[in-house]
Amino acid sequence: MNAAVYRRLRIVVGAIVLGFCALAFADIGNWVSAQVARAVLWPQFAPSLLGLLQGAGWISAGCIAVIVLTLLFGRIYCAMLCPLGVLMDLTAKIAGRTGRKRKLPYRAGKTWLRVLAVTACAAGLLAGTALPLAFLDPYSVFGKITAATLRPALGWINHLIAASKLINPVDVSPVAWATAGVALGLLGLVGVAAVFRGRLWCNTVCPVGAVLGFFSKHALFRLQIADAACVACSMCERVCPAQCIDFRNHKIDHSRCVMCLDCATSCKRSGITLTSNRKGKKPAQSPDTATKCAEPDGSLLSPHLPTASRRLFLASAIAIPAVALAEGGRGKNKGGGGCGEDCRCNLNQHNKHAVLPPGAKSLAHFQSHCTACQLCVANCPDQVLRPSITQHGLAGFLQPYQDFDVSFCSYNCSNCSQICPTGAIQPITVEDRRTVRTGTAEFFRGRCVVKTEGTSCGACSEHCPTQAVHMVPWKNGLTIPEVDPDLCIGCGGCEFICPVRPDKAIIVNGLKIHERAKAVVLGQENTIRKKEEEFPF
Amino acid sequence: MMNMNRRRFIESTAATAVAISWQNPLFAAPEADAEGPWDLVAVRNGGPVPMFEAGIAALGGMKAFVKKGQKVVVKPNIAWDQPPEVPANTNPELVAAIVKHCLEAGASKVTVFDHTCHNWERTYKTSGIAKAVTDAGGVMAPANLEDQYREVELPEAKTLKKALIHKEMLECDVFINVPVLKHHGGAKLSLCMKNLMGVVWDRRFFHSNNLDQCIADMCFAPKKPALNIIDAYRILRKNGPQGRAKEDGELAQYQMLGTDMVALDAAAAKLYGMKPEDLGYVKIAGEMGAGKADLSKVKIKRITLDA
Repeated sequence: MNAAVYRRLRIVVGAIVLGFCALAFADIGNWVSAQVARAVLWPQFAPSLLGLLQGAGWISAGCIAVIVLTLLFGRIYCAMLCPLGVLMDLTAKIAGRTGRKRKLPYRAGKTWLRVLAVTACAAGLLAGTALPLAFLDPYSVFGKITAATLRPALGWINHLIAASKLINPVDVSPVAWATAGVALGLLGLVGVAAVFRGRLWCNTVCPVGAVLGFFSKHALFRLQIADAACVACSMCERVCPAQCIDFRNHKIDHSRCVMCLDCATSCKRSGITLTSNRKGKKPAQSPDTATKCAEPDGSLLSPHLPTASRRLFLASAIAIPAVALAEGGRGKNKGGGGCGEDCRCNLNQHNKHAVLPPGAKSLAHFQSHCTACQLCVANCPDQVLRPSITQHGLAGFLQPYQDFDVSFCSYNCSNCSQICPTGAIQPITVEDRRTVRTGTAEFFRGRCVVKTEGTSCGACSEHCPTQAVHMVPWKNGLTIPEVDPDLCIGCGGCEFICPVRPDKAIIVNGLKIHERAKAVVLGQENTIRKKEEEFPF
Repeated sequence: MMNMNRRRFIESTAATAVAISWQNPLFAAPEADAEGPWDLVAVRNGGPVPMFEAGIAALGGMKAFVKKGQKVVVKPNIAWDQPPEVPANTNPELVAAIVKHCLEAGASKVTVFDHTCHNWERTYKTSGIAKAVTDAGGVMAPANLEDQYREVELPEAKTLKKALIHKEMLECDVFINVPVLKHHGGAKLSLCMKNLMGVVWDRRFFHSNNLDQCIADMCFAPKKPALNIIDAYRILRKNGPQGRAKEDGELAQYQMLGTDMVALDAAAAKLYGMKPEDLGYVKIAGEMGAGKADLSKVKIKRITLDA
């Protein structure tokens, strides 16, 4: 293929990927179904790999497809399938247009940094937290940025237009300031790196770039500089955003090459071509360069494997106690164990265990698979999912939890489980969701208005879809809530609506391991009143 | 204030027109009852639409309530993400029939809304009301954001002295209240007065400040319902107000129409099998003079349709 044609293809595919990925996260009108979003995100490497590790089958085979593609043509993923990579190219392009002409000289690869990034992610996963991956995986970083910036911005615009009654206002979650701060920080970092150093991120801290770089070294087709054609004009080196072309030595570091082919298009003499690896060596290559290339060009990961495992060991040695510490920091809420009926123990909506999304199975499973991409948060129709700060412990920073101050989890929805690309939230049907217990409601009679004020209420029972919270007769013709824990699914409707302040009278405490609630067999018919019955008034 | 004056003028003109057409056989619709006017019309043994048509005819037709060019708001109960068979929401066919009658009577616009408890778009859809209303020519209005509400004073109320009330209700000419008869864990039954909680933004205030008193206080909201229609075609007998399944519903085939919310709620309590005085808000509203809680003083027209 002609390099210019490829470049155009790259731009078109990149634009489509960027557009669809942004839509998946910033879709305020809920136009994109979970299935469509999953299809769009199929080739995203890190979530797909996490899914595959859990045996998710073809639905997570995107990472295998990407590896095959990389073994054939190099880092095509980085060139056009990675939303963050495309965003960096776009940022650099805009900066270039507005006067900042970039001139990027060749720089030696920072292999140690790349190995460290992969090691940190792997160690984190082994230690039970996807936290390092959450901040290094480009898809997850892109998700955080879009969900925390573009999405609220679109929501705000929607509300501005809706004020004139032209369109309906959408429900938007309150802005999560911590996430927005982190996202803006990441955006700034990525943007500055892109403007001044091209694809610096991709060849230093990006674990996907490192893994794919390992494969692209052995790609079947690779870019080669034809010695005969080269007039040492340095054009290729200057345009290379990966800074991986050493034009003096006619050398390209294929582990860092992001396959943009800017070099090939810039070469006036068409001296850079995609050449098969199998058909012997470079065309017209001098033996001198070949020997020179071999040494610094060493394989990225294989020689480092012993180092890698040592680092892995060290990293886990640090990570495991750190995680344990973060975990332990929040287990202090169940203070007064054996309280009586008028329980005064200090469980409130802020010191309880946070409630995980239905399908997350357990805190351990969730924390080791969720990269906090915010896709479920963005696509929760009830806005109950919110990025956590310390609700799941520090190891779960920005992973979603159910915030019952904002909303509650619907009985008729399992969107988050259907949309989660990593399998951190396992796919469940709506039917299934109705018996998944994510938490248990605890009622504090001493705080309830029925008792404290002697007036009727029943708001909690009103919102309970299973009637686990139901009203039973009490004094003076009043009714008071009672909880049947077997029926409770932890949806949080009761806690959300409870009018008691500062501490609500009914609190849903999250379960570390999800359970099955008792399924209620319900009749499918209305009862029928006899037609002969006369008017009762 | 100019605006308020004009609105008051229109209101009083409309009210006078209603009063005249009601009292005077000359102005009454041809179907109107000679023995009327009735405080309450109860219909039984029919579908929601035939019962409504018989009931509204006995009240002199929709023309008695809606004049040409008026803006109408119909407020059904659309609180929960439940299909019509689980009668947690007002019957969609009934809502559509009301919208049609209002438009036929010359309404310039018929708006339908409720401050839902579940996600509003899903609830509007699942209840079947969004489609029924749109097909009938009405408009579904959102009620999901605080800025769609305006704070008003309720000087005659006892506890609910001020409330954020939906602007559509405050700005309409005719307000029609269409609750569904259902069981309620806290208030015992959800009826006309309780349905008005759906025009208010902050419902937690009701629950934490004497629910029954606040419900009764809604009788003194600035816009009073010109007509109330209790949908008792299907009634929710248990697990209310949300309901769990169809078995919670009873196919009762009743409907009650009238202007007095207190009388209607008292009658509905009897239909459910309770005494009116069992409902705290009926008792309070009766004592506050918002309507007649004593059914012996209510002039009731009873219609049984041939099934």
